[in-house]
This record gives sequence, structure tokens and C-alpha cells, in this order.
Amino acid sequence: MKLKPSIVFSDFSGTAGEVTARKVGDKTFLSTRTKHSHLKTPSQASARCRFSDTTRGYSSITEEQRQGWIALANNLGTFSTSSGMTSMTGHNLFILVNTYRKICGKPQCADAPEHLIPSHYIGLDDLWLTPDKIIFTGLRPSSNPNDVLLIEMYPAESPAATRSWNKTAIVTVVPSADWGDADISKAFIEKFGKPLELDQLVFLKICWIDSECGYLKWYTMIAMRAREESIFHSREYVPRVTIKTDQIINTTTSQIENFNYEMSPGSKITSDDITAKRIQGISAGCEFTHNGLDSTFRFDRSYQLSRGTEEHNYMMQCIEVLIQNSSTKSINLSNRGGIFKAHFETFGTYYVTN
Amino acid sequence: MTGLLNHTTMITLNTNNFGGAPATFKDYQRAGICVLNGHFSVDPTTPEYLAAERLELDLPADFAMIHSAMSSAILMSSYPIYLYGTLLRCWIENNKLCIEKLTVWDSFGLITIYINSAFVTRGYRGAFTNTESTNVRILNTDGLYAFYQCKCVVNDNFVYFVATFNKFPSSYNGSGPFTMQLSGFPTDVEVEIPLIVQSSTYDSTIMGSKLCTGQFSGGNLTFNYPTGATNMGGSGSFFNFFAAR
Repeated sequence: MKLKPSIVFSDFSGTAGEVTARKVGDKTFLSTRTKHSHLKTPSQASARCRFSDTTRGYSSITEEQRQGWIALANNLGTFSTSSGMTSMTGHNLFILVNTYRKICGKPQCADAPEHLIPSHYIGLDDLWLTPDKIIFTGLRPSSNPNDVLLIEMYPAESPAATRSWNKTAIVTVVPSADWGDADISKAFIEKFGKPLELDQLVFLKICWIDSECGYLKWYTMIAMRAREESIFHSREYVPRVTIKTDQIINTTTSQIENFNYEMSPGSKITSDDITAKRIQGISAGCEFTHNGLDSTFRFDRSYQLSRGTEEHNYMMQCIEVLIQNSSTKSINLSNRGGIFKAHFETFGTYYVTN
Repeated sequence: MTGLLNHTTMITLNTNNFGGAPATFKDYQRAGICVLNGHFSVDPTTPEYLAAERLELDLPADFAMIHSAMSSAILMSSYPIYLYGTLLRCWIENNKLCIEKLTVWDSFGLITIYINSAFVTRGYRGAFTNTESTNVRILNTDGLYAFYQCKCVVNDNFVYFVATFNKFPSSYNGSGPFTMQLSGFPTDVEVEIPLIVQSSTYDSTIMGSKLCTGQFSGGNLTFNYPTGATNMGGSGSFFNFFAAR
């Protein structure tokens, strides 16, 4: 910017005090200077630190390494932006790749990779954008084992906001979808400090990105308003039919160490991994209570292979897993074959019968 | 692949990370559920086995399921007479059949891993239908057999059968062969399974449970005990398996 000594003349540009003047064609525009608040959230601080670290990294690499990045950038050719066709510089490519590598938890890469694997679009079944949950379901898995899910969002502050794609901020990186699900409700609150409001416009970018390569290129863009029903199929949210350790209440006689139970259709089939211990008593089993489970559970019983823990010589037994979720709320693990071992694991895939 | 029934085939897993020979399984494959039946040997002295943290067998590139939830396998050791063994975790990950490695019985020589299991995916919502069981009855009149618990699920492509016994032949009844004759179990299921035949007497210094193999064929189960076995079988014996038809 060219700074002239005074702004009292007709042809001027520059800043004096809190006023900035700029000349566009034959017109001069005055505006007050933007003051930086110097306030920063932990997330902003982290992003700035990440960027400056990466920038410093470029100055510390060798000339030969720089040439590698320049050559790789040249191979990318030109691409279209709002200001026309442009091309990537070696410096910018180094920053881009290493910034996303850092976001994905990878160390800085001084040598340019042999080739870049660009990020790619995602396929999904449905999405909930509600005040208390932001959940993707039916995410198609990526065939690249290095891929992680990168999610950027911008909850618009004005109902009239349009084209705010350049305002999105990284909410989280999800290492892999949990059987097609990605629940980012907590990460959203941590990022933006408050939940979505109904009818609030949300800009969302999401892609699978190679965490080794860190090259962001293609991503899926979704701009929708928050609502209680799902975005694509207008469905009410239904949780998966699971039981986790924290849903089970230990009793004076039995202690649960791990409970990872889920139902799959065809008809009812459980896949689970359970570790339990009878800590007192003489019954050949363990009994627990719970505070209520998904209504799919009523009276579900499976007979499962089991083994004692190492201190019980890995001896095998058949364990009946009985889940009651009506007026009686209990989970019983009872020996039905072999010799009962008080500290045992049962795991596998079994039909659930009544 | 060789077609047996509508959807049942045989697959051979040619490569693995433990230096073993190719392993062949009867299989039923769908994106949501797969059933595998077969067994293979593991030599615990090979450098590949010693270096492996878990056992991995490469599935065919076109296998219907890339990842599964937890399933199970049964390890049968070469411990003299009693073939002591236990249950192992088994699952599909990145197009590999993965099996937990337990080294407890490595010093006894070859290990046999039996897989007669279903593999499913997770992430389902909505309504589930109840499972319909098939009534299976014991036809023997010799008084050697009585179910304690028995559940059998039969569909067009595979069966699931779990049974625990109040009465079951023991080694005091001789070495066999024994045949449990059944009504209600499909006659077209051909599968070799481990039987857990520990008996109520055991030596607490020995790891694992006593095992032997049984063969389902023509709707009946045939098995025998090794010569010289004592305290094997009897009440408390059980089996639990899926089998492709």
C-alpha cells in the first residue's frame, strides 16, 4: 500500500489513524480500519501455531528437498479459482501437505512424496444436524487404509448467509467410521462452543484424506439447515442396538470388565466381546442390572463359547447370555456347559434366540 | 470356486503370515454375513509364525466382506491324547482372516485351528425379527445322550447348532466310535467340528480343555475318543458351530 502524507487531497490512498482510504478506478473509498481483537480460542491458537510451525519447516529443508516440492507442484498443473487459473507453488504445496499431515497426527515430511493421493468424496446414507447430535450414518468405507475422515464446518451466524464455504473450520479428524457412523456432536461443541440451533444454516465439507499424504483436493459439500429429522431421509434418529460397558451396573457378586455387544439382522445375531468376573458367591455365573436398554432388547438369549482367563487355564465353557429389558432389567451370564470359571471371556458371533 | 449348493462354495486361502500351507474352507458369502468351515495346521516352529503377532490368512480379493465384527475359532493342540485347546478370537480385517495367537501349547508341536463360524458386519438400526429355532431330538435309545440346552437354526444356506449335554458318552464307555442320531438336523450338512469333552475332573496344572473332533454327516454326529483316554466326555460336554450347507 502506498502511504501518502495526508488524506486531505483528492487523490489519495493509505491509512491515517483509524481511517483507511483506497482508490478503485476513479473513486476513493474510506473505511475504518479493522482492529484485531487479539482474543483467540484454543482452537484458533492451535491452528495458527500449526501454520507457523509448518511455514518454519519449509525454511529448514534443503535446496534439493525444495526442488522436489517445486517439481511435484509443477506436475499438478493449473487449476481454476475465483480469480482465474492458477498453479501451486512448491512452498504452498509443502504447507498444504504438512498442515494436513499435522492435523492427521503425522510428523512433518521434509521430502516431497513420489506422488500425491488426492482426498476424495464420501458416500453416506444419512446425516443428522440437530442441536444435540451431529451424526453421519452409512458412510461408505474407503479402500485406502491410510484414509481418515476430515470434517470442516461453519455454522452460519446469519440466516441469510450464502456461499460461506471459505469460512469452514476443521471440526475433527475421524480415524475411521464406526461401522459407517461418525458422531461428531462433542467435537462440534468443543470447536464452536455452543450447539446448533434449529433452522441454523450449516456449511459442511467432508472427505476421505490420505493421512500420510495430506493432500486436500476433492471434498463433499453440504449446506443444510439444522432440524430434528435427518437431512436426506427425514428420519427420526434411531441408535444402533448395542450394549456397552457403561450401561451395565455391577452387583456385589459380579463385576463386568468389558461388554461390547451389538445386534445384527438375519434374524437376530449378536457379535460381542465380554469379560466378566464373579467376585463372590457360589453360583455358576454372573448377574448384573442395567438402567434400560434400546427397546429392541426384550428377552434375548444366546449360548456362547467362552474361555477362562489365563489364571483359569483358558478352560472352555458354554455361557448363556440372557438380556432382560422389560419389568426385569438384568443381564445374566450363566454356565451351561463345561466347568465354570469365575473369571472368563465370551466372544464371537451367535444367533440370539428367545 | 466350485459350487455345492446355490450360494455355497469352496475357497482356498493360499497365503498367510505363519508359513503354513494353503487352507481350504467351505464358505457362504454375503455382504452382511459370511460363514466359513474348515481347519488348518500351524507349525509353531517356523520363523514366520514366531515373528507373527497374530495369524493372518489372505482372503480372495473378491471376498464379500472386508471387515467383520468379532467371531471365534478353536485351537486344538497336539498335547498327547487329550489335544487340549481353547477358544480364540477370529475376525476379518482388510480382507484378511485374522486369528488371535496364543502360544501356550506351542511346545507340543503342530496346532490345528478350527473355524466353524459366522462373520457379520455391524451398524444396523431399526426392527429386528426374532430367530426361529428348529426342534432337534435325540433318537438314540441307549441312554448315553440327553440335551441340557439345544438350539438349532436352519436356513437355506447355513445352519447354527449349539448343544450342551446332561448325558454324553464318556471315555468310560470306551473309545467309540459313537453316533448320536438326530431328527430335525439337516441331512445335507457335512462338517467336522471340535467337541469340548473336558469332564468334571481336571488337572489344574494343565492349560486348556480336552477336545476331540466330531463329524456331522447325514444328520447325525459321529466321534470317538483316543485310545488310553480317561475322564473325557460325559455330562457338561458341548459344541457350538455354524456350518454352510
